[in-house]
Amino acid sequence: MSTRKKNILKVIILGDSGVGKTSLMHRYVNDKYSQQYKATIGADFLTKEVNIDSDKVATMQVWDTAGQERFQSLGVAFYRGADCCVLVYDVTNTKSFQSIKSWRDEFLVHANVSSPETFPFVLLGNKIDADDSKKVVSNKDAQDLAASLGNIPLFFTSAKTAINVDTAFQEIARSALQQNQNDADAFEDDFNDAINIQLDNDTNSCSC
Amino acid sequence: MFSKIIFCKSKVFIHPSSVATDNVSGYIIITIDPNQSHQDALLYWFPENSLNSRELDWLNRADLKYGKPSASATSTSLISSAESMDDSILMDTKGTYLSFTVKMSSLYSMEFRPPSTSGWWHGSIILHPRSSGLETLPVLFFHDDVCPSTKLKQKALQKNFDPFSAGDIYWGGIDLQIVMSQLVDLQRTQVDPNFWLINASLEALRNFSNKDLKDFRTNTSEGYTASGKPKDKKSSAGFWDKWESTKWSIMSGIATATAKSEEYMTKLVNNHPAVKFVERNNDNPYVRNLLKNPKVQEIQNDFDSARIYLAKWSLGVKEEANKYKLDNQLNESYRRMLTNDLGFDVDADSSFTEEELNRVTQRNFPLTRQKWESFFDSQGRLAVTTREVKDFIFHGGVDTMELRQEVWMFLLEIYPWDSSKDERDQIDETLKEVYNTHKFQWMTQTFEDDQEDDYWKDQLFRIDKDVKRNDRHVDIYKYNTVNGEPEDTQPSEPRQAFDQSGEPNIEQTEDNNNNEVGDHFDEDDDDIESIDGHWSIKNPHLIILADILKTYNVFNPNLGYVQGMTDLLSPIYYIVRDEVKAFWCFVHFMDKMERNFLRDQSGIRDQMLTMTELCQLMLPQLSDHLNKCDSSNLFFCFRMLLVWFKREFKFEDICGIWEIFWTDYYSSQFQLFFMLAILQKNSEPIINNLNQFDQVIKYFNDLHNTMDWRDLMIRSELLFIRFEKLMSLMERKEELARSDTGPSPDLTSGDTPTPQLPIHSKHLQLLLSKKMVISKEQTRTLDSIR
Repeated sequence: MSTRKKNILKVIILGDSGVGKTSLMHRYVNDKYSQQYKATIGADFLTKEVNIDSDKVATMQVWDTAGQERFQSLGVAFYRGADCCVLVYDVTNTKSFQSIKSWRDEFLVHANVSSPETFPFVLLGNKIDADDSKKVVSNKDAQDLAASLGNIPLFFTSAKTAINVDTAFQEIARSALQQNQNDADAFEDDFNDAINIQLDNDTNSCSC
Repeated sequence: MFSKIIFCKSKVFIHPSSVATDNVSGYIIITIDPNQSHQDALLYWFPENSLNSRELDWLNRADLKYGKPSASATSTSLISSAESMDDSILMDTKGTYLSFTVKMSSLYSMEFRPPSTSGWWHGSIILHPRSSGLETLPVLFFHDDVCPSTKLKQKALQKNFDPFSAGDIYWGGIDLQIVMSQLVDLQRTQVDPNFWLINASLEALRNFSNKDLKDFRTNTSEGYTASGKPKDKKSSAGFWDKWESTKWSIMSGIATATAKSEEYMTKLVNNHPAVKFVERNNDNPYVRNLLKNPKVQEIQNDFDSARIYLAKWSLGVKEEANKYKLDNQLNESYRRMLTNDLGFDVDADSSFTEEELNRVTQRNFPLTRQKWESFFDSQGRLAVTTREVKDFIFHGGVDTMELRQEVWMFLLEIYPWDSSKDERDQIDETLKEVYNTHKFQWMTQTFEDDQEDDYWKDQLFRIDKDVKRNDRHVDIYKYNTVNGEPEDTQPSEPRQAFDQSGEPNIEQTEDNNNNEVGDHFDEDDDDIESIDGHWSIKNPHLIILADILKTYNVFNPNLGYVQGMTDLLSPIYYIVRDEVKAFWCFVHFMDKMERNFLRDQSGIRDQMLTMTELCQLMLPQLSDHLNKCDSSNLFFCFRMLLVWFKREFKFEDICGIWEIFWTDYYSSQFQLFFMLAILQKNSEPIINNLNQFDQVIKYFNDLHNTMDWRDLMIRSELLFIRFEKLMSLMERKEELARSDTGPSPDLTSGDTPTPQLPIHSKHLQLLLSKKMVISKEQTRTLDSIR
């Protein structure tokens, strides 16, 4: 069903298993953290009221997904209608960083967004609280990747110690709202087009 | 003869006549041969007068030692405390007047008739052998007032008198009952609380009715007289004998009735034909003369004191009776509800029969250890059909966590059902060897190929990652210390494999999925590891979980580790508590579950398609509504189906749910009917309140810890029965239609499209099969690492 829910911002979190997607969601929405989140199976979401630029209020729906790649093929139903996609890697895990690009591609293939070039992504390097000795992805590499993906915003976060999580989600909310309004405008246009076509048909039938 | 004595009770009498001086005092003893099954334990009764003073001394000591078992004793502790029997006693009593021996397994039932509290009559037991060919056994009366062990226990009980405990009245027979219940499966019948069935078949347990009891009593009343007398044709007591045996049924009837009202109770007593007979003929001199007979006096006294007796007895049985009544009433309204909920507006053809409802709703006969042991012969080979065993498991579950340890080895087909004990020992050996070979393989492997090396390292990473975050609220997995204990506890503290209740020791605040997760974990705890996951596993149980998963990875190299597999392994290891056995149980479970984890997701997709069709057929209204909510793909079932509801139910409940699925009793895909039952149970709130895809997902994601799985299991079974009926009904209809339209319609009218009948769906057809659905992963190639 294509009922527009203009006041709901839909945000999808993607990334390899164990990078901290569930933790980030809970930290942002409930300001809580636990070691004990089990591996996510399927998909779940939490909602939160957000103030954007101190004058706009919206409801954000944050979707947490399974990191195991093979589960994606089935769960793409919830990609649809997304307003922003958050790509997460673990700064202590190179492989998770290398997978970012394929997560973005996967999303674009299945989400069926109207203009892939402008669709907002945000990149998060999580677990920034870890010992420096454990960090294997350099900030430079991360900045390069963000740039290559179309200058998308990049944040270094820690769901455990709450570093940068709110800041990152403020940006996520802003991008999502922007996207949501663009889409709504486009939808408006589509709607007008549809009416025009209808009118054309009518004139045609009249002239018969 | 190596028999050991495990029970002895003195002052157990037979009453050959109504004259007290005729009574013969004796002993009941139970002996067991440690090399044989508990089922082969022997129960003896023999008279005191057959023994010399040395033997009497021995037995009187045994009475004190073995005459009052503690209620918490287990059959193993019984045996371990047993001592060798003085064989000469058994030899000396053989063949003496009236003495007898019965094997536990040859008993069909037993009656435990408690004494009157007013002391008018003694408590007694009657043993009913299974085969009617056996000689009938006399009634045994427990003279509690002269039995040392009983008196001691009575004294102890009085000291700890609890006026609010409304249990059974204590008497000597209770001690025997406790010991018997540890040797054989002893089940009280609902129709008569004094009547107990021994190692009964599920059929007997389900259907033992008032009528059966009556039939049983009339059939066997020929064999014994209730007073325990050898049959005596001369005595004019025919009526009275019958009277005494019916007296017991009246009494039991009254016990049940006490829950109703006193008035009703009195009416019941006064209206009984026997009571009426006595009353009506009270002025008849012959009857009056008869009433002077001591035996008749005794019975009359029974009734004079009946009210006091009942008032007191009712204290003890009221709870029982109440519960029984409540159960029955509940049962009635529950059945009505189920029929309303699941019967729909169907024609008689597919509605539930009384028998089906009986079978489905009676889930109160769990598989007990005693019952389980009674299934096997002396070589440890199953002596009943697997169907019967599975019936027990499907409808009652396995009684304790400890028993699951054994039963699951059969359910998961590690042990063939028809194997002997020796064969199973052999299997254990082989499995150990094979496991170690596989484990050795990954522990020592090195890779030439970098990509293979990367793959393996990634697998290890994934496995460790999930093991570290799976079921950490469960006692054995909780603390990451080398002994699995919290660091501050005394190391000397003994820890049992299972705690007293037989249930896993799990934090009350368990909530493993959502917002509140892990709030009970103290973040300052030493075992709380840093977020980056770079900590090593020290807990021995977690190490074993990881080792098993790694070994499985080389055992089934194509599949790879997939999230959810740890969820499947953890309860198995918890129950089996042995690395090798848990591995093989997991292997067999994965035979079934591999289809859920395939790279292309075809197996889980198939099940979700099946669910969609099943839902259309069985719950059309809900199906329509889900379509409107953009949820017809049933994505919200994904998690529940993938790990068999592991995330929605408590850890201990999952054990009960899985073992039922493993029986393949109705269908090898019974989990889909359980899923259907969840949909059915929730369909009203869904239809009334939800109208968006995300709302539906949220609703189902938040169901964990809110559902009553036993109720759902009953619904699942009824849904299956109905499904089966619908399928065969449609098949019959189609056959009829075919024969109506001529011999070969497809030749004459090839263009008629086959109607979309559910019986043509291969998905639905497959649900009727008990054969395991197996889909294996394709051979792994380098780029299929996902």
